Amino acid sequence: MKKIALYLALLFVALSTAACILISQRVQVQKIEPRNDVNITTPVKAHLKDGSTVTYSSGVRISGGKIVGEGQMHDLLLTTSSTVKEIPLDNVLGMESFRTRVNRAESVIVSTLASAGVTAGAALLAVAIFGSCPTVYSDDGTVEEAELFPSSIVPLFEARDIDRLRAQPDSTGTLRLEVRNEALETHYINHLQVLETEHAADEFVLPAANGNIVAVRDITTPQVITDRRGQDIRQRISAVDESFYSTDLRTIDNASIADMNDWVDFSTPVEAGSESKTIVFRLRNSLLSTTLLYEIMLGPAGAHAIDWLNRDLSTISTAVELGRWHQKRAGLHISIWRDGGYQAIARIPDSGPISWHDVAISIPVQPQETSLRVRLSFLADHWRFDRIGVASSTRTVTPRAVPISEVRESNDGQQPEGRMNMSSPDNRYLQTNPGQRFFVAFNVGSRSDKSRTFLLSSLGYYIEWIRGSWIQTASADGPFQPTDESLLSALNKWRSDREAFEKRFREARVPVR
Amino acid sequence: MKTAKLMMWALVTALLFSCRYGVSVESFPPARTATGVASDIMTDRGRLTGELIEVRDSGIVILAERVLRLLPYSEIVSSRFEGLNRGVTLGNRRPPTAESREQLRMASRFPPGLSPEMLEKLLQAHGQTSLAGSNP
Repeated sequence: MKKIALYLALLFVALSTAACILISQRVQVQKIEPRNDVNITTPVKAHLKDGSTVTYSSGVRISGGKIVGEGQMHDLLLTTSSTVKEIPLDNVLGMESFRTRVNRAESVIVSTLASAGVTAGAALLAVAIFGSCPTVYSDDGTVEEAELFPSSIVPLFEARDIDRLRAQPDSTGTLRLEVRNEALETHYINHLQVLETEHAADEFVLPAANGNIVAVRDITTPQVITDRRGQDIRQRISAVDESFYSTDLRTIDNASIADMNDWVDFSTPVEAGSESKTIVFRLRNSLLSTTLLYEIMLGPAGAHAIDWLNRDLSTISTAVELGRWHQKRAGLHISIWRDGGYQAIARIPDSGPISWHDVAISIPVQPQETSLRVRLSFLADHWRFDRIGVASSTRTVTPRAVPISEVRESNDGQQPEGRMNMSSPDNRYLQTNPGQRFFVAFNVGSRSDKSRTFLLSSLGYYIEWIRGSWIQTASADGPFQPTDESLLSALNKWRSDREAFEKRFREARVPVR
Repeated sequence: MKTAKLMMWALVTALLFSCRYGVSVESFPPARTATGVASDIMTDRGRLTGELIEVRDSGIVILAERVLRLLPYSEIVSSRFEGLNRGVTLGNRRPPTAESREQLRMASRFPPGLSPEMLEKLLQAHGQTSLAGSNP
């Protein structure tokens, strides 16, 4: 009896442990010397002198001066293929075999993370819901400045981000920022630099959606600006303050597969001779995209999510498919009423749910137009608008790029390697883990005669940690598929938990050390 | 002795039920098809994604958007090759290490290299008379 109990206990321990053992694997390609009496049981490729390629999915035997095995022969242009059983070695230029190899070090690390997640249980992971890329602060960590490359969830989505900073240099001409990892993510920062702009005192400098930096003047709020339900939202979006626009709950309730959008409409006059009109936004995302990432894309897939992030999204076609879906559904889509309908003219990508982001778009004006009828459409409740305004004048600014002068760790130790890793866009990265932070300085110099605005240009990506609890409670059969059904599902979850989720999100950042 | 056996049994059970992630030969296209590895290359002039065709001393030949291009190492800022070990790197406008070059060469469509005749046929098939550069 005791023995059976012991076996059952061991089986339980083994299966519990199994839930946390994650084995990382890679493919190793090896050259084969085409010689006799060799048996290979893994996939093999033979390259022939005429440019043809033969693929053997189950391996080959080489004997009697021939390659023996069932293979598919493809011509040089890969336009035709035929089955072959034997190939004389004389026709072969080279051969290679493919084997799956276990990456032992990575398996141990990831398994430990997953196990730690399970062991620490809900206590740790329930609070660690804060998920969103590197966060940047100034003034000794008291001013939230920006969140960097929020949509870059895998290496292939690595992207450049430009954020307007409020920070100014100290008396020595040094601009100091603090970069934190406050989420259960690994951050890979490729490049950081500050862009310095000089401008008149009454100009407001900000990034434009097309990648330029612009200086605008006299930002005014449209006289009439309404949401999809026809409600006047002018008061909420007219100034940089605590008041902002978010989608009416009734619009979210009415969302369906066929129609998940909210929109904001306004008109603005066009002055005679104008060639373009600039709209200025101060906005941020809601936590709907975080809900989508955690509760739909990663959580239900459990361990499959590791494959999806690590393997599927390393597949260029899969990444492109997800990117297209994301581009179509996420972001802010700007249309102009022309020729009896709204015509899409620009898109502002997602900017993350933490910090307000200033961004401008320039709309080309047609010669006969005296006013522009503008529609901003977006997935219901995906955006928060603090300000929507129209500028009276705009000019493109050429900034001065200022490289990093110094990187320091929390313990005040200099990190020359960190500076080197982030000094140029290349294949070197500064990597940070949850709870880590560093301090970065830019020697921008002192100027008292000119107004200056600084922007932070960043390049990188981040990888979400797959929580042990997700692996234990996985409910999906496979990895995430980008569909409108999944988006509607995220919207419904978000609708039911919006206020509570926002509160937990704010309270649950991973403390930095 | 008995305890050691039981521990071994538990470990084997745990490994049998463990989860695997990453790339295997079943999910690595170059192992199953005649194509080269999919690549994502960042150059000074922009980003190019396509199939790795050939690895040369001076650069790599890729097929991106149906155009055959020769990308000199001096113009490659960074790169990714799907499914290959992360240790296989190419970037910083420098030639790869001998080890990385060998791994890339074997994952390309033509590891032994393209003869002038083969290159001419490929160019003809894509409506080109010579290899294009890195300008997207």
